[in-house]
Amino acid sequence: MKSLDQIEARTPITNTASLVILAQPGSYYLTHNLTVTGGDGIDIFTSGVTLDLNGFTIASTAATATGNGISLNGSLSDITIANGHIRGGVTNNGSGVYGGSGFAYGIYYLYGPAVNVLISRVSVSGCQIAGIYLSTGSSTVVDSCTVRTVGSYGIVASTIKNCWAMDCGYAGIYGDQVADAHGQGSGSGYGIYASATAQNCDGSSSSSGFGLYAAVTAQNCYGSGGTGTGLYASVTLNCYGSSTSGDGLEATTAQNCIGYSSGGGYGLYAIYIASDCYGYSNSGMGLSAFIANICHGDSSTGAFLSTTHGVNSY
Amino acid sequence: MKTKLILLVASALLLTLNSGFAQGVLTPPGPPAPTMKSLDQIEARTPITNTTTLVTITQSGSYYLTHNLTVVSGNGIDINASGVTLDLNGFTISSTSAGATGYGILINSGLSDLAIANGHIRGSVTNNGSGVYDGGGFDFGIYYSGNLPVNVLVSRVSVSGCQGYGIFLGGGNSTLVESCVVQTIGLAGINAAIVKSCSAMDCGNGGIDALQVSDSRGQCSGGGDAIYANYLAQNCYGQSSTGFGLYAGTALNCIGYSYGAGDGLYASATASGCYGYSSSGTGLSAFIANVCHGETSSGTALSTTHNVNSY
Repeated sequence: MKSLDQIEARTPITNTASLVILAQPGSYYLTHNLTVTGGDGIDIFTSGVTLDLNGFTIASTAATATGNGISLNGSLSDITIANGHIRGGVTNNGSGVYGGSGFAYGIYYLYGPAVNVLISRVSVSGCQIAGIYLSTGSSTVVDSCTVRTVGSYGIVASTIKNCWAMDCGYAGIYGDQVADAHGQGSGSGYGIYASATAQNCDGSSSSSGFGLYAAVTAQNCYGSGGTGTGLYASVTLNCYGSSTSGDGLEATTAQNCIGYSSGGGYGLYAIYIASDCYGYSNSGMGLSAFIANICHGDSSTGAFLSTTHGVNSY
Repeated sequence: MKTKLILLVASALLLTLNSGFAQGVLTPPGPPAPTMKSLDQIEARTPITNTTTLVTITQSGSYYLTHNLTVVSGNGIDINASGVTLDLNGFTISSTSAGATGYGILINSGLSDLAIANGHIRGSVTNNGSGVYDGGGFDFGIYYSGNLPVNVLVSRVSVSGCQGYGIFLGGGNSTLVESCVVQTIGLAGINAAIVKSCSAMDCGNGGIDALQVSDSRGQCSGGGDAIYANYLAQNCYGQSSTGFGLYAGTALNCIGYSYGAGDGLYASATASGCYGYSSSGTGLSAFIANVCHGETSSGTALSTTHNVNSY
């Protein structure tokens, strides 16, 4: 016969109200909701940890938001966290000022980047600073997570897929490779920021930040900005950018793209080549590109098209 | 943080010191403490044991079904608390109500941080073949009341035979539906912010409706749109009787069919690598159509402002 320890070989975490410290590699799972009155919920001090929240919720009742729901301490590697919720009581007063009780961070790393980290199926809400904050430029993956109402960053990681971060004080989604994601930032922050590539994403930022910013390529993406640029990528393919008063879409090379400025910004601005693109600006330049190939610029009161080499464009 | 580290080091030191003095006393200090896990530790989540009566969840926690749940009318499970994970554990929620009524799972007003996974919700509503849906069971598979729910993930759930909606979470919030299948639904199949790897077939008025849809299939018999992606659609197939096969802001690698006057595939911005067919409407309509193909029987094959290698 199997023993009970063989049926559930993992280590149960039985805390309901006190800090959990994981100092040995292993596979752990929650057996209750965990509600602390201050500080952190779970501190991981070792590499090689799988933490199944088992559907339970980690929360803090600290009057002023402090500590982390889960913190990764030191230069750790091989960490997996899945399947549960992290909740604080931080709210947005409607003017972008975040305050309240609970945690500062949902999931956070300290004292060196943690690498080989996978976070999946975790929701985080109401944190003072960030929802899920891992290092970029290293092997960190966040998949199928949702974050809502955090004072600064929604989700920060290298690869972010199938995620949603809304009502974030600075940046919604901030990663290297971002796909199938939605991010909403505010102030000078980004809806979605990708240091490399963005695919099938939409981002919005309420004022001077970029709706969607991809340093290298953006494909099949939407971005909308306030005074900032709607969508920027060095190479944009199949993208749509719009801005209230800034530039709709900016790129080095743009193909099959549309840019739209409701104010005086460029509708679509391509430093080198715009091919098969359309740009509209209410009072600024509709479309500007060094080479404009089969493009159309339009404007209500501004200029339509500016190009050095116009090919079948108007 | 530093305090914790110091405490850890202190505890380690104490352990070392203790083992250094562990000599002389041979009498066991008492019976050995149990080292075996308790059954409550092995399955820590809260079982839901109802088989025929409404389940009401009023506390944050992690729950799982232990049986199929078949109610005679009304709702199957009411969620009244935030921070709830509900594992259907492979079981089925159904209703034997003669007329379709109630919710398989009801998410009450304004909740957040919910996850529902791994099971089935079944009613007995059928389509008479002419797009008229009628029968018993549930009105809605998974639906909310009052204010929109936020931070919701629904995955690996199938819903069939409901009069109203299959899985309906509202589009403007942080709601994800992935790897779900919905069939024979009187109104809309799936509605959420992001829908991925899903199928909604035989829906009366709208298949899948989201801000972003990817790797999904929708089919509806009425005038709704089979796939409606406010922003982005990628790798999708939509087929509507009289509405739009696929409607998107931007569409990539998608196919849409309308067997009425709706557009087969419509993209308000760019369609790339797409195909659309419409019986009497426009096969494929896009502001920019890049390497696309539209066809029609009696309407317009292709409508585009900027045609790039499309026909």
